[in-house]
Amino acid sequence: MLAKLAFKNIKKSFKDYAIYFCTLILGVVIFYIFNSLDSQTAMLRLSESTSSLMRMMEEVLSGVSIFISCVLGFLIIYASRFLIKKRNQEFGIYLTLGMSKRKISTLILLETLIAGVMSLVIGLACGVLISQVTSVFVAKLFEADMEQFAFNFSIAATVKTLIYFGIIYLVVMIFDVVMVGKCKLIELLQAEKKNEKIRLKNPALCIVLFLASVAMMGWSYWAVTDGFYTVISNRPLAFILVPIGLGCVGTYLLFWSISGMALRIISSCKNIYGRKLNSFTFKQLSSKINSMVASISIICVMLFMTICLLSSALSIANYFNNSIQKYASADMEVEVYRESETQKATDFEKIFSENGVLDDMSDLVTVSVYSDPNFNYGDSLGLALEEITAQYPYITFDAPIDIMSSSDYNKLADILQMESAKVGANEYAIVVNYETWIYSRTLELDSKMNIFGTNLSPNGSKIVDGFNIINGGAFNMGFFVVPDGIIKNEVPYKDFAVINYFTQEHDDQVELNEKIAAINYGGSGVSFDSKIRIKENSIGLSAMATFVGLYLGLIFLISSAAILALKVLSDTIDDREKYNILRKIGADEKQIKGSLFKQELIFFLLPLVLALIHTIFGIKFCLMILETIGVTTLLGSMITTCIIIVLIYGGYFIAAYACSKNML
Amino acid sequence: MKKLLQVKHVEKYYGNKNNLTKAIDDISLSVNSGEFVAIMGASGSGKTTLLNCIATIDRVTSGNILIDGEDITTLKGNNLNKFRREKLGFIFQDFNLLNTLTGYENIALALAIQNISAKEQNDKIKAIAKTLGIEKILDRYPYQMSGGEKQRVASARAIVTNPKIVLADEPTGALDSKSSKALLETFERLNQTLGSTILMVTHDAFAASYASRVIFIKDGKIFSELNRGDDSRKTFFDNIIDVITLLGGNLNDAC
Repeated sequence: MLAKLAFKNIKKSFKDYAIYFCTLILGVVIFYIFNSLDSQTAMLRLSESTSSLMRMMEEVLSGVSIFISCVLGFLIIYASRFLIKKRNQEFGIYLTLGMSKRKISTLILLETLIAGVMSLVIGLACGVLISQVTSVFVAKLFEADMEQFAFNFSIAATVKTLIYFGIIYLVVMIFDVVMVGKCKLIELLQAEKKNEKIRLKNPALCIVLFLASVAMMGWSYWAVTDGFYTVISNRPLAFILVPIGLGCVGTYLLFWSISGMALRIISSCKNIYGRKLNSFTFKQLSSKINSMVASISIICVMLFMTICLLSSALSIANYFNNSIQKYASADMEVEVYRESETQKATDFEKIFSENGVLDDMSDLVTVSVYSDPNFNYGDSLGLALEEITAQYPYITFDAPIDIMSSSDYNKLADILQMESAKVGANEYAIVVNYETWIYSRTLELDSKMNIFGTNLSPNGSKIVDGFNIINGGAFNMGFFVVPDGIIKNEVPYKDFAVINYFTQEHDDQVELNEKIAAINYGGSGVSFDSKIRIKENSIGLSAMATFVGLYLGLIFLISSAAILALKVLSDTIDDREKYNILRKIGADEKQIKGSLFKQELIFFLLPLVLALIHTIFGIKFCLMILETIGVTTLLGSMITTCIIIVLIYGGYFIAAYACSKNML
Repeated sequence: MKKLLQVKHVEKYYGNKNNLTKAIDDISLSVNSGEFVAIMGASGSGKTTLLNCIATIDRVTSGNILIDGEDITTLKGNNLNKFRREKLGFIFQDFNLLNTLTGYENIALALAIQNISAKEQNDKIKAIAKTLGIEKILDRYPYQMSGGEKQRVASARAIVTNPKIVLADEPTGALDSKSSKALLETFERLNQTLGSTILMVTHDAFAASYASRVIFIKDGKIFSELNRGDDSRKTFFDNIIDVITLLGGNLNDAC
């Protein structure tokens, strides 16, 4: 009997709570997809280093999953509280008919169980289907060859999803039962007639708190951008949590004070306030916001994090894909350090020829690197040293800086596809591409430098954008290019060879790389780097960033949007009577729907707008961190992020509006 | 006198073929401009259905209702809304004030819907508040008002738009006797000083005795009609009680 009632109740309320069900299903889908990455990559051909990265990523993602399931748990508990509150009168009737509280609890238990099982089954089914599509995306991200398309299904991820969501639903059931147990019959029956009071806030307090919140956020904005080094100097790095915390408190206080003040300001503009249904619209909106200042603040912060996470994650992935093309522009590089000043230069061509690999090389360029013990990083920075030491107190600058001859550098520039450096008889050029160092170098562009005992002047006022070691990004902190004549009589400390192969096949290149690495070159030390290894390393980082960013970002986004949508729907049910009154006093359907639309639009936009303001500064901060790995712009990924937000958040808004319109 | 409201052979059926309820069974009546008419009947007699049909909230099964020469049974959609907000004023048993708006804003809303400017709204509200003696409670929210105050604010909202006819559905139903008396005196004053036409549905003989004419309805049909003429309210009240006794004496069952 109870089961029948439970089924009927779910069927009846399905239309009203379609958004809730969809969010549950979406949550299950995302959870499954991100936890089934192992089976999605099972048919990919991955090299050993990539698969060890893969394992690490799975561990990170499963840690993130615990956090995610907490977020989802809160969302579901929050949502089910709405749903239970909506049905107070129904429960009141059950009680007056003589149903015991225990039976009502069982009823709710059954309903949660049915809804849970349904969402899990549908969600897992969708998850398995969608993961077939995402596996193609994953393969592309890992630049792995997909040997053949195979249907993948992860038992581990399924079991994990079942366990995690099982626990969430169990907690929800306990919450619901406790809630029902605490209810009083009279309150249940009269729930609908309860008077809503307009809580008027003290205007003076509102203004004070508003100013306080603006000050807090202003300081936090400054502290994470321009004032970062001032704030963080001489303090532990964890101090960065202070502006973040203050920003959150500021957000809450801002919403609290705005919800109190805005209405006063708008209602004093009689011409706007007294037009059509505006007075009603604003009052409704203000009571909506007033009743969930805390939730809106959390949503605002979650949206902010979503935007920052998604744009940073996507830009990291993008950046590596592009920068590998640019900065790992040769297939292989071999560096040999000389044992002593007397050792002869390594004859790479001869060695390669002896070992039978020369014929596989399409290009081979050998160059030498010098250093002047009397010319170190600190000297090369000149007067800018002081400012830089203040910025990077942990770095010492007394190591000698690299020096190359202009003919050697231009040979490199040719094979690595960089701009060449032109230096006159008594001139030098600085070659640098690391973003923060470009800035530092610019400070001292016109100083004379004493290199190998000769005074050299700069070759112009421009920095040469280049590097001499292939890498995953722009990490060259700087070296000098001087005329050949200056170093004619000096001895280089290392020689290196830059190599391109004829073959572009992955396996053949790996084989060649291994062969070259096995050769004995003599010298005091040898180091190798290949495009393939750089790729594999950076793919791991970019894939990790993409997955964690997408995972958290998507969950935050759907959670925020779902809470707002559920609030809008439950309010509409509460306010049906009000709209009937409006109809009775002669308001058009168009006006009524317009009022509803305005209320919901502003309600959805409010947290988003503040989140976007936060983002302006948050993104600057992200960029500051990402610059250290070479990312210089987030614009492209921010556009992608905006599209994702418009689609999901906007989709929830449209769905909420459509549902509430039908309820009227 | 000009006939403001004409109800011609109106019928309203509920239910289906097997179980047909005639809520209104061929009722015809008319109300002149400036009249204060009460419709009396027991619960289920069809008086509220009739009022809802006149109020364009419900549709008639057959017959015509003319207000100010316009047949409202043929109006549809936005024309109906326009007609309702320009020609009709409503007062309900449960006040139907918006809880989130102050008294002033509740009244202003009825004007705002008609695109009346904020300044004109203010003038009109001040004037009507003075007539109804609610100036001091205009800034209060409904939950801060007594039942009588709420109903006076609702009355102000109903007549501030200067409607052709004010329709009141059991306006004293949720009030104590003191507030009822005050409200009915307000109606009387509105009727006499502003010339408002009021059609009130009630099952309370005391409320009905404030009207200038009382129409009795039983089982969806007009049972009889009483004109107050020059009688005092007390005499008229006694006459009403007599008719109620004739009706079966059970009119006040619901009270």
